[in-house]
Amino acid sequence: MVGIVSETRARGRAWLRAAPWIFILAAICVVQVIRAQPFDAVIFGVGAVILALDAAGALPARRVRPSTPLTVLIAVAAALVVVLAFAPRHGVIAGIAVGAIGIAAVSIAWFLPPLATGDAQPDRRVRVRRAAIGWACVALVMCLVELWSFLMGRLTVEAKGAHPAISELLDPVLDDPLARAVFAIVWLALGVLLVTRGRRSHDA
Amino acid sequence: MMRDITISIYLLCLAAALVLAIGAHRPSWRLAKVTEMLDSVLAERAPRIVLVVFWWWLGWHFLVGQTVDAPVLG
Repeated sequence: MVGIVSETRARGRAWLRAAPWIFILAAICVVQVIRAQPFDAVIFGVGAVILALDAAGALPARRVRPSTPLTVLIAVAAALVVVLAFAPRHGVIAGIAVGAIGIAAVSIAWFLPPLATGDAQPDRRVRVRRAAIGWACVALVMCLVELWSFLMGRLTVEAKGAHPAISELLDPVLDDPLARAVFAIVWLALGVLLVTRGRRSHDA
Repeated sequence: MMRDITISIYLLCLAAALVLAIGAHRPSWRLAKVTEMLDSVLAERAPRIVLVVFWWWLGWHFLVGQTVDAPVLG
């Protein structure tokens, strides 16, 4: 009986920790519906549902993923920069490359073994909390201005010019292969960072 | 005018991010470095998946999918 109660409490805590993140995916899904982009909406919607099922304990127990050396990740990312720089934008080759990157990145992120974080020193916890609040504020302001610009820009061509979304500002720049290479380097470096942090060894 | 204000806010956000990243190297600011913060945040599956999915979508949005939407009223 005690075991069932403690398991229920642990599940409840897991839900509470996951809920804000599930909400973020669901909110982005709604924005994609407004954009009339069904594929993008499905990506975020399915992500939200899968995370909700995982938090509820409805998915099979996690498996530890196979080892992926960091050097291999960096070599693959470097090769992909060349592909993404020279493949035509919105084309099949770019689609296959970015699609494969997504499947690999989400798989690595999903099967990352759980880590014990309770041993962090109080001072470190305070520094992490202060940094997280700062970065969250920046991200929130950016998202709100982007959302406002997107919604206003949906009305007329004049409004679109007055309220540019980040996509509109970057879109013409990315038609240049050199700019696309810079974008691909920054994007892939950020991806490697995301799938290699939150772990203790030098393996992704 | 409104266009300049909007672009200025984007640039201010970028500047704030740089200040946070650089300020984390000053002990008196008591801020964790970006990698230290990511180690803590990404230790759990939900934030890890959300950030990776959003990161991936950015690549898809700018390189493959529809980047710019047409106004609905023309």
